[in-house]
Amino acid sequence: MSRVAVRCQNVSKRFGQTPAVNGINLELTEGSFLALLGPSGCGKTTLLRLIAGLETPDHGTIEVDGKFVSAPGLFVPPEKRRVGIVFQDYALFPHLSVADNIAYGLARSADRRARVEEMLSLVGMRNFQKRMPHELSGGEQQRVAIARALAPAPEVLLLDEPFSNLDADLRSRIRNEVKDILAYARATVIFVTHDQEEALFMGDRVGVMNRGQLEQFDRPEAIFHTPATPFVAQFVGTADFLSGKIENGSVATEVGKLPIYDHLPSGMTVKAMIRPDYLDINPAADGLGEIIDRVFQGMHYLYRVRLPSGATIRSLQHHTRDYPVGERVSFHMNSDHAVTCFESAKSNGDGMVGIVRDEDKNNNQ
Amino acid sequence: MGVVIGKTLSLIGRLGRAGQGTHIPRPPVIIWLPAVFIALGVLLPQAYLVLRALGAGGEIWELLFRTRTLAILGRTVALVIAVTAVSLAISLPLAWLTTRTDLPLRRVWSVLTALPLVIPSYVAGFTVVAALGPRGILQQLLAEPFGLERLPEIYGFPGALLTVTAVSYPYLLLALQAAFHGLDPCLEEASHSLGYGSWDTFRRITLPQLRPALAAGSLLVALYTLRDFGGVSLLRYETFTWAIYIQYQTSIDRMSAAALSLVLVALAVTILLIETRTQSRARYYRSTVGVVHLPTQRQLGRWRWPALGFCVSVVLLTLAMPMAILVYWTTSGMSAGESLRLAWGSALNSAYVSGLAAAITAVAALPIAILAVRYAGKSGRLPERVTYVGFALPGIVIALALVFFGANYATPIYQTLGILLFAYLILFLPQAVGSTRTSLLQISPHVEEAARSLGRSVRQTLITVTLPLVRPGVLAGAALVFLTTMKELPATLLLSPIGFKTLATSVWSATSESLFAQAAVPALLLIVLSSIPMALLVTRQPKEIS
Repeated sequence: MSRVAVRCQNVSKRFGQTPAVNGINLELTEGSFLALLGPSGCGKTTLLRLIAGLETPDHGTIEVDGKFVSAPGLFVPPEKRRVGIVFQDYALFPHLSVADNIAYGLARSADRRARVEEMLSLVGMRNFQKRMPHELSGGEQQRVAIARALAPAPEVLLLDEPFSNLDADLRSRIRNEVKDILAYARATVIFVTHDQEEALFMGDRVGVMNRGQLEQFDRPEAIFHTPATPFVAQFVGTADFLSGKIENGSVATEVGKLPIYDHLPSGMTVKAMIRPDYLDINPAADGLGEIIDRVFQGMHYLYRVRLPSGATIRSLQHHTRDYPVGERVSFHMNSDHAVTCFESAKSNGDGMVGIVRDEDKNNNQ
Repeated sequence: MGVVIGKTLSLIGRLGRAGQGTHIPRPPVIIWLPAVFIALGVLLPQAYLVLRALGAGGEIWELLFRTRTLAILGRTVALVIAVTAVSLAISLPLAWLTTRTDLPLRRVWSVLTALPLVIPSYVAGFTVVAALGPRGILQQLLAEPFGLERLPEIYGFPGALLTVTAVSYPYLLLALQAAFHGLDPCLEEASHSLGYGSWDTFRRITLPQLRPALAAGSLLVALYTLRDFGGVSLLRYETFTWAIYIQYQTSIDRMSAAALSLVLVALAVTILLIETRTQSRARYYRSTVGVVHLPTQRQLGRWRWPALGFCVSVVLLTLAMPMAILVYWTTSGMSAGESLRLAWGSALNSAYVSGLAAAITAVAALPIAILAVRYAGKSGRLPERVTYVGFALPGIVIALALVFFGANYATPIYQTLGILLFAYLILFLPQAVGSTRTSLLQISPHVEEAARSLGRSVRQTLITVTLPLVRPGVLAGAALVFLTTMKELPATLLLSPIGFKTLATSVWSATSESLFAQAAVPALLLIVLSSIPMALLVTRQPKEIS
């Protein structure tokens, strides 16, 4: 059994009247890679800063490597926590060269030089060690920031939206590189992002946060296929909801009976989560649905189809399946996909409201 | 007492920025202790002056409501309004011409019109008297061909207006030029595309956006006029500053001087309050950062020659004329056997005391700026606000306060360089704090947090990261203080040790006695010496931005 690298118990932090982090419980084993995902302003960066010791929690305890670092009456300052951090803006010391930036966190000793060399090779920046930070591109600065944070061999490495300042093409390349570097360094990593694709790609664990709370903490696949809340369903990937009733281990909706994951009691009213790839559509004169909108995405068309009840669902079709708006279509479940269902009361578009509000908050930051 | 101060600190802090949701750490002792100490030091003499004046009881009100006081008030306000209005009339067209048009030699005019900033008002005043006064250069030129015996009187309002405007309008001009540069040309283009012509676009789009700069610049000019001592004194226009000085020099009873000072302070505070109002409103008008394209240059066409004429006459009157007169009197004085030795002694004194003032003020500004930027909220900004005293209070008032305070409580340093340096510290701390603060604001707090997470304590982070990064700002602040200390007159006059002559006091005493040749040499030296830090400041700027 591997050791616990970070444990947060009931951690809360409010700024003025607004709770930024609200009763978070989290346990991360050594060597794991957690992607904290959520809309801007959901508290994920605050949680990171609490773990780093850059903020003090109002409630709860934080442990790093089995030792309490924040607890009632106890606060270990950031310089004594052995927690490295890579900031969104990299925060390289502009007055120090690349090598001096990396050496900054190392004690004066004989092997300091060697450790800097090691870190420079790790991030592939050996030829840049005499450069000043402003002479580096965004991707290069990023690598120096990671090398600097890794140099003192921290227990945990925190990365705050590390790719958000990079161009789109550079981003995917650097992402791969960083994943390799961190895997090689065998660091325990907590990584904050608002990009779902990034979270699913980088993390071997994903935590989805909303309004200061951790809505789900799971493997990436589980987050996508069996979201715990309607918010997670809508925030990670695209999701529509159809009302239905549970009948003997499946859910009956207006497009037919669909298999479900959980054993829910028969007769229960639920909202079934439908992703655009779940249902195929075919033209049929007596079809249930009517195409009301379509978006050409290159390889695919994304159709929006209206059902008799007035609900709409989206369906992703190969670009060869080119149907006009107004066409009547019938539905077929395209695989043996089981669907996730939420109790009806829970899914009242609740998630969407949350997203909108958090985007607003982002603008004020 | 301590409790009261503590309570006030937290109370005023709450009025500031607290509770906005940003995390404010507790400042370390090495920062807040010196900051509070300096703030209290700055406040002490002023508080003493107020207490003394108020303590006088009923007679103070009699002093305040005499007709003479009202006359001084009227003259002061008239000059402040006139100087501000004339500066506006000069600066708005100049700013537009030098930023937005195809005016020939645009950059040259841009530099030349800013240069009068290095000319102290009493030097400008001296050149005005020497040029336009009785037996001045103009009268002598006109005496031969036309037999002209007397020119229209230059002393009083017209001379003061000319003098103070000539040296203060660049503040407004610089603010407006910056605002023109910051304007997003897309807004004006949008207006054109919506069918508005040039004039309507200027009136409806450009002007409203210039409003914060107009307000801030005008108030700088107004404050300069209110505080000016040298220019108005040499042109014998009795505003508060000169009246206070006369009162102090001539009467043994210093209560009148203190009473007049209080009215002056009230005026200055009123102007500052207006300024803070417009500053908070200014935020709404700030245009977007990162303008993608430059505004198209306006073709002046047949207007280019009148426009050029306008620039030439402003530069002639505010820069070329004073410099020509200084050179003329210097050369004629030297050929008449005027000794330069005296001026060199004063120059050394000036440079010595200004250098000391620059160093002390820059160091004192550090903890105050760090507290204000990094620990804003709670009580962090209070010491910084206290230093604004130097902005609000005219030099003559601070000098007078220190005279009272020094003579009664600080006799060991009274009439030493120490008390003079203390006056400079109070007067120029806002400049040094401002410069350091700007530099600090450019450093992301993440850089310091990164140092903490890499194992360095607050103090180590301060030494290895913050101080090296803030150095350009500290040096710029020191250069600015050096420059303004060289030019400073009233505090130097009142507080210098006996026999300690600086360039400023030499110019002043020689001009008061109409010894133009004797005044010209130190005046020229003063301008040359204070241009050095000015040039350093200007040339350094582009590097700092990167």
